[in-house]
Amino acid sequence: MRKIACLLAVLFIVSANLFAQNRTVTGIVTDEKDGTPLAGVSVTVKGTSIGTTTNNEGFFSLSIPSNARALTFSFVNYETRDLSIGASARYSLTLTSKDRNLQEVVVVGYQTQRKKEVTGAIAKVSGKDIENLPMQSFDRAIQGRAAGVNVQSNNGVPGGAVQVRIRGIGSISAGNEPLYVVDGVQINNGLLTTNVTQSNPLAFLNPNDIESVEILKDASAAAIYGARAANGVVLVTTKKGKAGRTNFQVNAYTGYSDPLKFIPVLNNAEFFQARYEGYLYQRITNPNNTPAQARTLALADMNLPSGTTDKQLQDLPNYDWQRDAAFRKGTVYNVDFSMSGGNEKTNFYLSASYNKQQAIIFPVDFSRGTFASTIKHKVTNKLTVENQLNLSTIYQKGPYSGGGGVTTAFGSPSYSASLMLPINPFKNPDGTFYGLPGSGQIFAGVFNQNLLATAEYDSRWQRTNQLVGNFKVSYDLAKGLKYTGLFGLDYRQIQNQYYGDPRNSDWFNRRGYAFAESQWNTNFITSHTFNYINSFGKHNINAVAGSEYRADVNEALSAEADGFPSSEFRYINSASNPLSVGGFWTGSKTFSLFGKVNYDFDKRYLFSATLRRDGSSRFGEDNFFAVFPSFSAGWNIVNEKFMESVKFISDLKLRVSYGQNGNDQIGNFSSRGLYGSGRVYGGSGGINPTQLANPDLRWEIREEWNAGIDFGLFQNRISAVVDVYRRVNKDLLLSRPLYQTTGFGSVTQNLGSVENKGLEIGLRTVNIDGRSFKWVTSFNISFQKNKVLSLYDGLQFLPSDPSIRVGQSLGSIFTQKYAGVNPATGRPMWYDINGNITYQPNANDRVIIGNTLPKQYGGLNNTITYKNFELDVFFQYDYGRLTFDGQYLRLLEIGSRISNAIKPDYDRRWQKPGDITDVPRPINGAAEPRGAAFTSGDRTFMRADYIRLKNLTLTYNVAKTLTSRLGVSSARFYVQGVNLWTYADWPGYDPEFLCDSMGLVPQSRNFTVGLTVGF
Amino acid sequence: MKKLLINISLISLLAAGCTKTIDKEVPQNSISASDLANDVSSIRASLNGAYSAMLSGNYMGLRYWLFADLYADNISHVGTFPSFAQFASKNLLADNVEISNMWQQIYIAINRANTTIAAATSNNSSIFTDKASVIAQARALRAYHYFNLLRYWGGNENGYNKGNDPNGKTWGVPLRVNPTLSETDADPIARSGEAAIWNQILADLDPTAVIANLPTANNRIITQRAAQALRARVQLYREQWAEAESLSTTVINANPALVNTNFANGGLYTNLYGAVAPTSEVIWTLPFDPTNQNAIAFFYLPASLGGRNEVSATTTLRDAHEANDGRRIINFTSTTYPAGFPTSPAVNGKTLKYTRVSTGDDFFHHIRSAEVYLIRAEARARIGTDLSGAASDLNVVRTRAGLPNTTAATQAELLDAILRERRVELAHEGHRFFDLRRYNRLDLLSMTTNSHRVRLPIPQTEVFRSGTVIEQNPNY
Repeated sequence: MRKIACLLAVLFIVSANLFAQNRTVTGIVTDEKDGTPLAGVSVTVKGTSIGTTTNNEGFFSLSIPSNARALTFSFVNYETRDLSIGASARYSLTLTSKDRNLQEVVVVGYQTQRKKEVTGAIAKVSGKDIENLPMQSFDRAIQGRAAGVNVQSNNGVPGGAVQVRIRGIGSISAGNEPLYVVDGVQINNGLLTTNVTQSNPLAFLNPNDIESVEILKDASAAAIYGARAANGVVLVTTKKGKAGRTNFQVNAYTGYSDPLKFIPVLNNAEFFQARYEGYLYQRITNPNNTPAQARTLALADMNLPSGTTDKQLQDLPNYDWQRDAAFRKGTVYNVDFSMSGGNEKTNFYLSASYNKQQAIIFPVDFSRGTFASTIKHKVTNKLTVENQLNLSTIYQKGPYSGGGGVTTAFGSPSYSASLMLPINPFKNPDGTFYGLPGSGQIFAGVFNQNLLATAEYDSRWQRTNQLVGNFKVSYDLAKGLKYTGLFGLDYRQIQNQYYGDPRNSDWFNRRGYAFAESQWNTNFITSHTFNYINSFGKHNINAVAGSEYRADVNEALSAEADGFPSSEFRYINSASNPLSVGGFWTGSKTFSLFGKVNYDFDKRYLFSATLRRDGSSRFGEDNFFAVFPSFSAGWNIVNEKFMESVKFISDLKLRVSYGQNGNDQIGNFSSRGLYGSGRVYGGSGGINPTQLANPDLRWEIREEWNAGIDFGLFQNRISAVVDVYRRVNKDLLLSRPLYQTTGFGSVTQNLGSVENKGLEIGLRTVNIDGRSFKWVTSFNISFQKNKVLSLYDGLQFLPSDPSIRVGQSLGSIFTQKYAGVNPATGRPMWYDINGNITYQPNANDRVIIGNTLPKQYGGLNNTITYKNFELDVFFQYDYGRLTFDGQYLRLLEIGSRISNAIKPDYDRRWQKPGDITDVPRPINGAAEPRGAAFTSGDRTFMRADYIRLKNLTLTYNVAKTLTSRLGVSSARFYVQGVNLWTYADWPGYDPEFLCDSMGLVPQSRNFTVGLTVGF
Repeated sequence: MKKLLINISLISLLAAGCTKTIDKEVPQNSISASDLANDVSSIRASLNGAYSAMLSGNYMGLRYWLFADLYADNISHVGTFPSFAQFASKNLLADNVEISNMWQQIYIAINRANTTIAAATSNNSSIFTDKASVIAQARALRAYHYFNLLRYWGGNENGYNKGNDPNGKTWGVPLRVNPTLSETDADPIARSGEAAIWNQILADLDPTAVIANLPTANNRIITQRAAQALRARVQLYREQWAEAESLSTTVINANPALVNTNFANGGLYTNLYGAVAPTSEVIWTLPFDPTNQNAIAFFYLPASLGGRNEVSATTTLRDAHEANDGRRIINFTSTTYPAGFPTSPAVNGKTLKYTRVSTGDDFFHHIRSAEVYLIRAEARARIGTDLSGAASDLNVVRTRAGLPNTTAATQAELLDAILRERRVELAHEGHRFFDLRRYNRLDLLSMTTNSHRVRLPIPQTEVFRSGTVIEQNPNY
């Protein structure tokens, strides 16, 4: 150090003496591609420290010594350029941005690496790919954009829960959720469903603030996160400021959403016919059901007198409860503003946004305001301090019965709309709701609540206030060695309230009901890392070592009450009858040490090794600490001498890796012996043992081998990433039944193993690269196979869930096979275990008929640029999955109960001997005598394959000549459609949902127009 | 360099601190085993938790005692549960879910007692003034649970405490006297012999080590008097007549009165049954309340009265009553009632002992004085030296029911009279099957040719899961 300082001092003195005669040169630096002036470019006299930076117009003026021969221009993300200078005083030049594919940097957890040197399996989604999508959280937006990452929305609740599965599922009873890390802060992503609506812990972030999303897929890439890494890791990096002129950007879009489809249902006459047949075919057991009697009964079901004629039935008004009552046109509105800039010492990024979306089901909505700020300041040449804050507040109105709306409650609009009899009117002539309790008006049919009233009168709201931020200090300790200390907080409060209006039948007798809850999640993290990057000749090292501490606390308080004076009183303190108080507290702490070394020789031979040791309060005291190792290696063949002659190959790298990760997503206290309260004897409280201690309990382990190849041909006009992997999750947590003499029913132990094998292909081609026309295609596909390898005690299936079988995939559907309709009688038939026809299948006849996990999935994106126009067409697909649709099951009850039914199946029903069909004859009560319920078995499991035009965006970039005249630096307009078209053979609202479809808020089709202006 | 050193030392300090704190995370709505032992009020709450185990419908909240009448001739099955039908038809299978649930619930109760004993024993706090009482109550509860296990699953085919079966074995149950704290304690334990279980029961009802430390008041918990009565019952089962006689004398002398001296006049049975437990007669009761409801009346009463009509009293029970027996209308209801009785349930064949279907708070009496009189009567008759004393004890119970004194005079006549008296006095209280077993009346149990059925099967899952460690009862 001292030597260098001395040298510099000498040089300075010498130069000051030598170059006494100066002259001034000026110039403008612009981007080679689009000619925009570049601000903040460093301009120095080559070989000296004399220099300056360009101003906002890209202009520089520098006084140079007369003997200066060249200037050096350098700028972040641009190729450094030397320019020889002659006698001229004016020099303008362009800088070329670095080839992103070659120089692209990826965030890999506590450090960054050049993409060329990565040896694990990492997918990257750029913030640009997902900007301005009318989606509230980025997890929904990355659907179909990364190979090996399966994203499914639970439902269509805006800002609702999304399931992300990286390389399949490896756990039976512990969590399968990946770890999310936002700028170094690990997010607690529990608490997805509340009593009121859904909550997405990632919705705090305006997706337009995201710079990039990196997904660490294989075990070696994720290993740096140890016991939290078994389900993969999603790293989110937000936008930062750059030195240079201050850039402002305003962005706004607005639009509307429509239901994807309405389910065709029966009209009054058809419903009557179905019901009539249902009674008539019951004659075998009910001899009284003569045609006349069946007619009377069917009419009575519709609250009609027995003398009603067919003509009168035809003439009855049909009320469409789907189109005209339950569903509406949703709206979406978003505006955000950001500014970024700074100088050599300080830079910043500030943003604010407001987003509001109304779902297609009243009154479900989402509105959010966010602030984000990042300030980075270089205190000295060595010390840098950085502060990031993301603040958000979200207000949501929830669907009937809360969560994603899944319910069998008759008051639920999304559940009841298709099942309501069309004879029931919406409103009375005076505008009041028809059929309210106490009015004396009775709805025909079992769906006897006015869903307009339930939606209008009940209220469910939820407010989420979230703060995710960090404070970071870094210090350059020596050449290449940097210390970084990070203190981060993920704080979230969810308040929710539900008011059941006394005017609605559910709460009429209780004179109203209210529930209020607050949940807090406080998640503190601090990490301290040392990064070392250095080169010794051809030996390059990029290493990190550090420690991390995380403490998570999650708690809630709730209260419920009923008995309100009137519906005007809607806050819980007005209730006359407090019912209960609830609450919980849970927490965990972890402490970790970790290290990773990336080494390469001459950019050709790449090696990487990771070790992480985690201690977690969740684990049993005998297995408190876990060590997770991983290794990987790569060979950049393209950098070999012998490849220089093979011109058409521009990139070629082989990768192989092995790693171990843990899955710590078990209950915070699963390993403890616990005594719980809640027992009462003789009027005083008691406690009793509730959980058996298991001091051996530990994390589930994922072991994974990954091999991959990255290649690019013809200057990367064609590039691809292909990975194959075998992932085995072992020591799975399973609940093993215990001997009853122990006084316990079961104990959680590390038993069992599951295998996932897969192939992932990501392909990008530049099809046309002309002067004004460019067409780029990216495509990805993932093949996935899951298999249970072992359970415990030699069991071939889990006693508590016989669909989990050794040798079969998780998510198997275990039920009886439907054999169609007996053409002679119209009765439904099933196959028994021997393949014979039976009318009464039993539990022994169940076989595996399919799987709820997709076999293949992925996406296809085409970007076509013509002059100032850009067209993005993005398809997403999912194949090989079977799903149960509860809404469809209800709608299949054609004539079997007093609720509406689905029209295509009605039209196909068996009507006379000889009819070959899959829809049995209607039968009141849904089961033939000595026969199973006619919706039994696999009749309601259907292939959920779909291809969807997920996103179509047409953008017009306003020409430079025009923008400069308008005084702005850039402007673009876009029109966008989401879910415009779906190819699926699906009778219900939509095949994309999780859990059950009964009553859930379905996906919608969105149209938006937007404008982005930069200045 | 200096700064580097400072940084590194800071981090290692942090590291050391964290390692210590992360294992201290405690759940705030549950406590750990060590926390329990350290806190006196928690230990007392744990004893309450041990009592509450008996409230379960799989144990004293219904099934345990109901099956003792259903598996004999007091109660018939009129409902739909196949598992109940197996009891009524005396054709139990080892996978009967009721047996498994009952077995499990009793062992849960035992584990709660064991947990309380262990925690209380290890706590030597000076403020733990009732330590001896807590331990004694938990031990007495444990004795009761093992007694209840042995009555159903153990014993000789001819009765209890009769030595080996013809095949040379005695049948007890797995004996657990230590708490199951961790998964390593969970290995299966083989069944002990019958004698070992009796010894444990007697030790847990030891007059000086246990009974003397019990509380004296409150018939909702196990008092000295309750434990003495229980021990008297145990000795009756073990045919230790002298001790049964002397213990029941102690219990009776402490409070000789029965409630309502005459049931027939005015029928004030409601003073004895329902959500009440008069201390004059009820020695130990199981209280229910709105928080802890039972389904007893629900299982008896028909749907029209809010029940599920699963069981009824048998007509042979009705016919076992003598003329003018005031208990007949209590044990076998009718559509019409004598004056002074309520008019509901106006249905045939239910019991007035459990009628509070909507509140679910009918108490179940573990032990009451009438039984203790009958224990002493039987002990005296068996000894044979005080037959008149036996008759006068019997008459105390008969008089209240509005019946004349017994005409039985010989030992054999008296024993028969006592058996009949026990049937009608203690009907719907879970004695009939065990009494017939003690009297070895396989004929009345309809088990003459199936004598293995006097023991319930061990739950099949338990036998399978333990390999062969827990042995099944013969012929199941």
